[in-house]
Amino acid sequence: MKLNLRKVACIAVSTAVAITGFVAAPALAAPKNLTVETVFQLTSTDPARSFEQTGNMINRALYETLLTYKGGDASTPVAGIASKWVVNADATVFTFTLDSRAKFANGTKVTSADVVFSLNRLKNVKGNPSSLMNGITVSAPNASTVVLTTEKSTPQVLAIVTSPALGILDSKEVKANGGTDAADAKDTDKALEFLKTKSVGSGPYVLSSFNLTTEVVLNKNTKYWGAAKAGYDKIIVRNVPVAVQRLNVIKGSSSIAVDLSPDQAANVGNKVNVVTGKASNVFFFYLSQNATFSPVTAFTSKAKCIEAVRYGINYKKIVRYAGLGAIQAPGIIPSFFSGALTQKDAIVQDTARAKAAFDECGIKDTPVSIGYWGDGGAVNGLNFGSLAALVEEDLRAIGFKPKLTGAPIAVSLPLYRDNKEEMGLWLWGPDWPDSTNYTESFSPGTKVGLRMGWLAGSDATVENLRAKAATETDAKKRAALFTEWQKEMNKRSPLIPLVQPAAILVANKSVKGVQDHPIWKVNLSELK
Amino acid sequence: MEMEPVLDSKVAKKRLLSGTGFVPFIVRRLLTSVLLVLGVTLISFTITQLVPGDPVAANLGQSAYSDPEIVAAFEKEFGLDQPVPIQYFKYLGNLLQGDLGISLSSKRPVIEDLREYFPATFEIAIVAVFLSFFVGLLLGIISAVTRDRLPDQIIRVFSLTGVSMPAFWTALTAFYIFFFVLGWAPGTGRLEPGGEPPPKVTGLFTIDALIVGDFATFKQAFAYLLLPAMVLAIYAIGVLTRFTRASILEILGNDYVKSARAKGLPEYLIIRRHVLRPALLSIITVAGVAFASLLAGSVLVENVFSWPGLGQYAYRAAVGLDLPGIMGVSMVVATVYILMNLIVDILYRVIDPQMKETE
Repeated sequence: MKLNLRKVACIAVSTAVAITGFVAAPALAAPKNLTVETVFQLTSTDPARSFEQTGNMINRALYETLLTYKGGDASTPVAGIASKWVVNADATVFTFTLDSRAKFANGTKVTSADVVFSLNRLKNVKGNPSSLMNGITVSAPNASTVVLTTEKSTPQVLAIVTSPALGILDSKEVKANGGTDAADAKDTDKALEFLKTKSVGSGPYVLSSFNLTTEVVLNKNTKYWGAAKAGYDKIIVRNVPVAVQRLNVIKGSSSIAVDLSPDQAANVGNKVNVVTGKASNVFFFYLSQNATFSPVTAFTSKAKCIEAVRYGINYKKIVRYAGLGAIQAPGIIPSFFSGALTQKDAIVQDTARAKAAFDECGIKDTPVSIGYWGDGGAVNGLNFGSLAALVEEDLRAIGFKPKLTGAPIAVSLPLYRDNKEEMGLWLWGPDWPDSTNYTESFSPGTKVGLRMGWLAGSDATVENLRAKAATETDAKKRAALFTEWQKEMNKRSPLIPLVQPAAILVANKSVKGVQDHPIWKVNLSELK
Repeated sequence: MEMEPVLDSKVAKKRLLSGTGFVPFIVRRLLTSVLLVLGVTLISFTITQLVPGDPVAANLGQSAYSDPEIVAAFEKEFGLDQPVPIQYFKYLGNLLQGDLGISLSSKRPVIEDLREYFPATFEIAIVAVFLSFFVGLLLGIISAVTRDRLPDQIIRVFSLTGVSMPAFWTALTAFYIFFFVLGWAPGTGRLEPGGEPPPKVTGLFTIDALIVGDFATFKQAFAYLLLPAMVLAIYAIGVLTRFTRASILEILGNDYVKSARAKGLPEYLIIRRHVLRPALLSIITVAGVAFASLLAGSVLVENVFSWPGLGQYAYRAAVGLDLPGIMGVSMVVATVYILMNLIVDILYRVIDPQMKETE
């Protein structure tokens, strides 16, 4: 048979040419727009229900808070909607005076009633960030003053109010669209869907469109009251896989790539800047302490076993793996928070000491399992599986028989939180940018302490330091207490801090002011 | 005067269900389809319950998970505080009213999520279907009629590569080559960043743009969907090419084809009149399965191209143990496969009218 292949080839080529001509690549985004690409961690743009990285990034540009931070700083709050604030001597009463110029995007003045409504709504809808308002009561003696009170000394309130979850909403608009701050708001508040279509804040941007899996578009707030106006007409935050983020930012199709690892950020060419900051995430390893909480052997509660692990890990190798900008975590509090330890305080590997401690530990050939986020889970470029393999290698070298038991996050996370892991490899990112988030979460009997089976009363020294730090109002004394707390933790706690990776942002050189922030990742509202 | 017999309703019903005509056939298939879908809900629900995970932990942050009030509110909102059998029967009851529940991740009705995500998958799948059918058929025919010659060898390597390459790798490589290196393809997504979609009628951006006469948006939407559609089609093209080749080779060996050649009929007429139609029966079977898998969404391809379709939604639901979302996707996928099988069976009867369904 002689099929006319020439005819067929001609048809095929003509078709290909027609399609190619028809679909010429579209022009790149206009200069007034900013495209930010990230892997979405997003549920909504309702500040009272959103507590994820992408949500925080977007909501900070839409909703202002009483106080905030500048750039990448996370230690010194500056004025937000409140122009002045006063704290009483025992840090139980916080009085904020609202800036008289503050207005919502619709031109309505921001009043104390809006602040009270927003914070009470946050507390009562019982969403993800609602626990930030635990122990805090809000009231308004007049239209321009807001008072937050706590029963016990809580100096970290000034840090808590900077969280985008405490963003201030126009109470009238929210109420008109089904919102409520009543005590039963968890059942009666219906404003979630409305807030996905429209923002009702006072920030330099307003919400244009929201899609949970593709992109969120912010438009410039043309009626913004603040001095620092929006730098862009439009910001598009897109959900893009990490590998594609790299290609897009190099090609210029996007302005900022948020999630590149240090390895991926290397060799991106000279048209982009690589912004490196210290990530707020600290990776740590721990041994479960209490056999009655879970079906584990009791060996992990022995001090010698903890000592063996603490001095058996090769921290330098882990830091090398973590790549550009990473440091060994000398303590559980990240490097830029008050009272953080310095590198000279960091634990140093001592293999001989570790082996001797292991021999005294008495485990011998008993296998021990190490839980972690499997299925490729990674944060700041660190893959949990690879990190776990490094730890396993070190433990094996000193005599342990470790077994990696990683699982998808939906499986491994509950095991960790329910104290069902024998050993675990996890990380902590702060709920609010203050060191008390760590003393209150990692001491015996606290949230993460209990996940390690470290019960209240297990370590009087650490617990006393925690109690003092919680109520100390003097900044220097607080810092000293946080430092001391960490040093004691490093001596005895079942938790071993490993590494603080770098936070990498890759940005087009035309974008000015890009800084990584531990809570909202990218300071969108300050970019020019 | 002869009276026409009045059919008893029971007799009519019996004829409708047990008759050999086209209508009884459709009715029977639809009834069995309903049972199939119910079976799928039970299996999906059971499997999801057996996964050792906690949807509350997967969806709440660390601090929230430690707050019993927040956990209780979450469980109550999504019915997770009920015993498992109650949860299932409640789900079935709601299903009969068209309510697929509320998604744990999007916090809105699953039916709305599916309405949003399915059109994106349908749009890309339709293009992939056309591409794979025509290209697969054409390549298969060429490969068969040039058996063991150079065109056949090349096509066979191409089709084997198509079925062997992992979709994720193909997607990334295609994106790198056609977008990053050559600049022929636009970036990811359905439109350019911040692009305004056309007013929603069908949810297919290309069709909706044409409906309102917005040719610029049509062109842009088509440009964005072409590369992911081609990537999605590669596997189906490979499969169809191989099956078409095999089917046609089998029929080319028949005596009546040799007779047709001996009579001096041109080859293209032999292929068109005597070979293609009988070959279509087996090709359509494979095509139906391949097309159903395209419509069910490809997680990996949609992920690479940031295509907001059913695949991405399914991935989010699975990772977050979003049971209503998982069940919703299962329902859609099951329905797609059932419908595709029905269409294939109808096509069988059209292509070969001598076929009768046996009792």
